[in-house]
Amino acid sequence: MTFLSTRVSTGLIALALAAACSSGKAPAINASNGESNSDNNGNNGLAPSCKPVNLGPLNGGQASGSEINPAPASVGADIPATYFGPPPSSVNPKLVGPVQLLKAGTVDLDKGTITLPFYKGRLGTTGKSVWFILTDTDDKENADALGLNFSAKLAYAYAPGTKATRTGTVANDGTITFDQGTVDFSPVRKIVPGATSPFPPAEAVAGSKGNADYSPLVKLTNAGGHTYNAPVLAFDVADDTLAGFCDNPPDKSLVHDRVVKICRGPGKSNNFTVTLALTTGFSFGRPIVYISTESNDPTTAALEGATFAPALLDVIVGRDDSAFSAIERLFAIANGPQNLSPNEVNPQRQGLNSAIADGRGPLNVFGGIPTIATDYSPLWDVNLGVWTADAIAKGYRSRVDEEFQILGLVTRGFLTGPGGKPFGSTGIIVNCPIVKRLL
Amino acid sequence: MSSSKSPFASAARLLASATLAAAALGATSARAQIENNPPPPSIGSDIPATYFGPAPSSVDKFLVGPLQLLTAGKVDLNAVTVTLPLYTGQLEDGRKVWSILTDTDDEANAEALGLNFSSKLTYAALCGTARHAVAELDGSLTFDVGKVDFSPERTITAGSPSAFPPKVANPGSVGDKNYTPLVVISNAGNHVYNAPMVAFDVSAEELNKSCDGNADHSKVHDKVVKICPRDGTVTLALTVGFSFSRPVLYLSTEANDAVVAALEGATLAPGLVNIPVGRDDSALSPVERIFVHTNGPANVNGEVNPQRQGLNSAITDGRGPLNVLGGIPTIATDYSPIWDVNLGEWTQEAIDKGYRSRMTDEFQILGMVVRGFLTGPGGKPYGSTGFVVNCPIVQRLL
Repeated sequence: MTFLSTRVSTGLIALALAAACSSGKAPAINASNGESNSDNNGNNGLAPSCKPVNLGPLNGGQASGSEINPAPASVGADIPATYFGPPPSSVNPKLVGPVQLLKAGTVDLDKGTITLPFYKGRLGTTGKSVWFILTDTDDKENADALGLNFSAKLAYAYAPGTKATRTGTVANDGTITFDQGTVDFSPVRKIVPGATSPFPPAEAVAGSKGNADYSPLVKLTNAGGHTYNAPVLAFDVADDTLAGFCDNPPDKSLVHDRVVKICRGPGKSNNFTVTLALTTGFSFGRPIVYISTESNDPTTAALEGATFAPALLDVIVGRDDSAFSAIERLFAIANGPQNLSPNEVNPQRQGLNSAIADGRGPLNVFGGIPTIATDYSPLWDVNLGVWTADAIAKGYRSRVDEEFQILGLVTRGFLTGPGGKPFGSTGIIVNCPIVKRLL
Repeated sequence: MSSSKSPFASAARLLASATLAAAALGATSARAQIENNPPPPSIGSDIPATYFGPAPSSVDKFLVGPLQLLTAGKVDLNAVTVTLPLYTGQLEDGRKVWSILTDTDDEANAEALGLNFSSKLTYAALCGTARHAVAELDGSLTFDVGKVDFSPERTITAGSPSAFPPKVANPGSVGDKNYTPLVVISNAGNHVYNAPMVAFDVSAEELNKSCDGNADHSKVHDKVVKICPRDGTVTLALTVGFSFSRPVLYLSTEANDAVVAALEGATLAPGLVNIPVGRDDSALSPVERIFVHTNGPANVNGEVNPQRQGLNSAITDGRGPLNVLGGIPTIATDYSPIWDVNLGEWTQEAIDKGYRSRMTDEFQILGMVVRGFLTGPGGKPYGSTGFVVNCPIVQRLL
């Protein structure tokens, strides 16, 4: 963590470092199977704060949208849903209603996954295979044509002399040759809850780590110089090995922790699809699902089930929607409401304490996404909020789901940055391409 | 539905004792502060707001950001008012009818006039639910029926032990049995217009005395701040609420129930009693749902609770109830200014568990209903109360 910027060290990571597990033991969670060495009651003899946590967001089969799925419109009406007109979004995608934004893939809301084309490229210096997905680009027309998200801000992510964006060239066979960047998927993701509260965790290890040159962003020099978001999900792995992850669980030491399945086809034998676990959140009050693939902070990467990509430290944060800013703001809450018992999901639950403690998602709040705003970027500048003791004591704490609602609470002093510091960027970035609006 | 059938009124009568509270006249006087006004986007960023790009709504009205919807008028966000054209008309016997125009099912003329378009209004002209009028050569409207008595004084006495339902609630204006704000204009394509009456049988000279304010609410609608036939304008107080988590401002002009009309600072309009409710977005339904809470969070020790909401709060602290509207133009296709009041009550269990908070979105509310944390009044099934309020949307704040 020493390579992190000063900004980061004063933010989330400082909190993480400040936390220590009182028992000194580290009951790691194995991200591959989500199991620990606890007994059936979760009692492993360790201090309660050090008990293993369920790394929920990556558990295949959990309906990602279940907690935030909009209720049927017919609730409380005198007529069944069949008599309702179609959702307004079917008339205009900017109106309210479900809209798939990353149309390149097939979303399965029951399973909480998206299946996307899996692209194979190579690393120029070695020729090793680079397996990646495409999610976003600043090429508007090709974004439309390919079903990717358009993000004008990605044009600002490339800065010569920095590692924020790799470069690549398109070969005659349609593959991309990357100039640099490798990812090691062999680490085992683990999270040990903090002593006094689950967040910050006493220990958090990301399940994959990029080298100093790895960024999910690539500027294609012979494709109009446009920038694409191309997260790497496997590196230097043979086709046949990946094809084996269609009917059997993927080996997370070879692939990204969010991979649920990789299958050969359709068509030629070198065509593949990859199925990824989605995360739930909100944007301007609308429930959404998204992919979380990289972070420039190892603790955040561990929490997100993402790849630690230190090159993203070169992306400037804190300037939100101003000229040359490549990011959009994401609002994470440290100490949102938690479940009162394991048997009932608190309808107000939210935040990192909740996510670590109960294995569900943190329900982060996004700024602008396509069809709601003009300022979308898949690079999210993490603004971490902490409810003050005063707000909690007065009963003001609840789930928040909208940027300006949060900023209003900040203005009134009920939400602050960690440790009572001013609210704002932590310096931490997560790469989270938007997939779908549920409303 | 008559006021005598109101469960609000019935509940109020059951109250053994009631404490007199300050009348909840917030609808006209205490909305100077929009408590859900979005703060500057620069909060928590490293740059001042001047470096931010324009609001996305300035690029495309369907995107997030402030947007005036009722563009016929001029909104004053500091005063929380809208100033609209004042239309003159008359009954067939010649008595003056002073109105505003806010909505119509004539889409092209809605755009031309800066009114809200509502296709559902086509379904609102049923037996007795709309007046009929003829547009005269001088541009005035001659109405067939409908009178409003603006002389009553609006009074609200808080109930006990909770402020809602109120012990006493008298609206400040009462329409006759034929009065509805809706009108079918026979020589204007038979389109339906929303034309709330703001004064009746009063001369222009008398109303001109209120050109600079101090409107006489015994002669004009309680929402009127200024009225000026000389300038052809009327300034009305706005109400704050939400639609799909966006803070909004709207007018509240009529209700079909006396208690609701009193709470809203609106006219009791018996003509709206026969508007069919409960069918939301289905064929031939003229309404859209509005979600009102009885017992949302209240202020704590005099401090404005950022979660405050509901009728108990509104009666007690004089601020608005922060109702949640369903679809409005630019967010959905199903807007109607005639809102079908769905009244929600947080269960004791939800309150005890700390699940109660401000609601801002229809589906958030319906999710709470599905889980049993919000019910209808007294634990009854959640849904339409049978009450409708006429609340033309004016502006999205986000």
